[in-house]
Amino acid sequence: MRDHLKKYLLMAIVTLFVIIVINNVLGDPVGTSVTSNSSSGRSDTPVNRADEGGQIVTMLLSATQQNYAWKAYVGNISGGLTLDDANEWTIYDWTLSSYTGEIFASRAGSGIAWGSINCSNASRMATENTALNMGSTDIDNINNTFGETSHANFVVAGRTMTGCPSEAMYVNDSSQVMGANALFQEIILHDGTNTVFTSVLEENLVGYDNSSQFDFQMIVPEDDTGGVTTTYYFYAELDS
Amino acid sequence: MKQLEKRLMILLVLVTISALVISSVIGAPAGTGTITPTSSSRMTDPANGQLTAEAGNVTNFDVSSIRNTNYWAGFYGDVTGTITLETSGGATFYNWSDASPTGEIYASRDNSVTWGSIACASGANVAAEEGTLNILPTASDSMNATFYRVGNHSQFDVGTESFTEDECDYRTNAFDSSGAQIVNWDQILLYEGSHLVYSTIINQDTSGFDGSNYDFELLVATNTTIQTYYFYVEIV
Repeated sequence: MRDHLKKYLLMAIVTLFVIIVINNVLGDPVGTSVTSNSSSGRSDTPVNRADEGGQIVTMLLSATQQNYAWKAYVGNISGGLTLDDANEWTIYDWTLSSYTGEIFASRAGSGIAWGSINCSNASRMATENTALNMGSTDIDNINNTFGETSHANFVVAGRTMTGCPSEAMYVNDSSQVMGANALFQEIILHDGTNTVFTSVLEENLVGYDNSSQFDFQMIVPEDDTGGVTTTYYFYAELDS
Repeated sequence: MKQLEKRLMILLVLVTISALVISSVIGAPAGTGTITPTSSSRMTDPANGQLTAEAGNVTNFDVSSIRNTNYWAGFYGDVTGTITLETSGGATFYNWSDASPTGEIYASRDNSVTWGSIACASGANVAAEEGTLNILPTASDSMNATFYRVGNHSQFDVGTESFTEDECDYRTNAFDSSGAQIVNWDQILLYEGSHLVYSTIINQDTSGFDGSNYDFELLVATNTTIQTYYFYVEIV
């Protein structure tokens, strides 16, 4: 009897040990929400249970973990058209009553060759993966994240973009089926040197959180080595 | 008697010529003659913004974007004028310099405007111009959005045609250094049978869009290809 008790106790301890190990491997649950100005990240409360000694508990653990290889930018755009001289004195201007266009984000702060902008491709996305220390087999690397090509056509610097790597962001906390009519489409472009993440503008649509209205939602990759923060530079192209 | 008749005949001829020349000056705006451009510039596209956010974060931010219009060009400057009494061959009988003229400046892609047919531009005229210049009618800076009853204009004359205050529907005002205003720099769209005529009333030595004093500011429609405009002036 004693031997049986010992055996059950040992199994309970092993089970408990396995549970603890699984939690750590899947990536450090966060007990409190992270806020920075208007930034926020997932807030996780660890699950817990209490069992009597001697129990053998079988559990299926489902872990949802904040992705630290990506970050998202959402917001609204206001804009105008102006007729200025080089000193920015305005002889006339117009307020945009409605607009279409794109927001672009790139690690390049200058020198983007907009005249050469075009779809990115698997090779260039793989290069960007490497630059940001994402593994070629990571399920959340750039290639695997932007695996669709059926986005709506749009024009950048006079060139029509079609069939580029793309994906649609979530709406109302749910994924969308990517296609020409999807909302908040994001497309990966490249100018020959730099990757440019592109968000096609919407106009005051309810976004990912089912309450706020946004003009754009986009995700950009972060350096996958912990403790590194990548700066992105934002550009806009508004069609009048 | 014969000598007297001869002198009277000469006088009559001279008066007739003078009358013809004066009629020509009052009856229609004239080509500007000499244009001396002093500078031409455009706003540099604004620098990009940058953001640094922590991995795993969703960051909300607003974007404000200002860009140059592709559909409009602005002209501004000073006017000096001369009212002359001369023959068709250019021989000057007499002239008067006017260092502070009043009147109007006109610009058209027509190098031979039929001033006798001048009238306020209509919606159809404006739509045709938009079609010619590939200006989207729905654009925020379309011709309609820019001109249709946006500002006001004072009474003015074009040759013998008189336009009362705010008679023309397609009107606006260029900016002064404080921004949008409706006191000066009247912009009026006219039409002469085949082309739009972009018009402005001279505001002699008036503070302009950049705080310096000018005599005129004039908006003309264009697009991403270079358009040639012919300038006319009417001094009163």
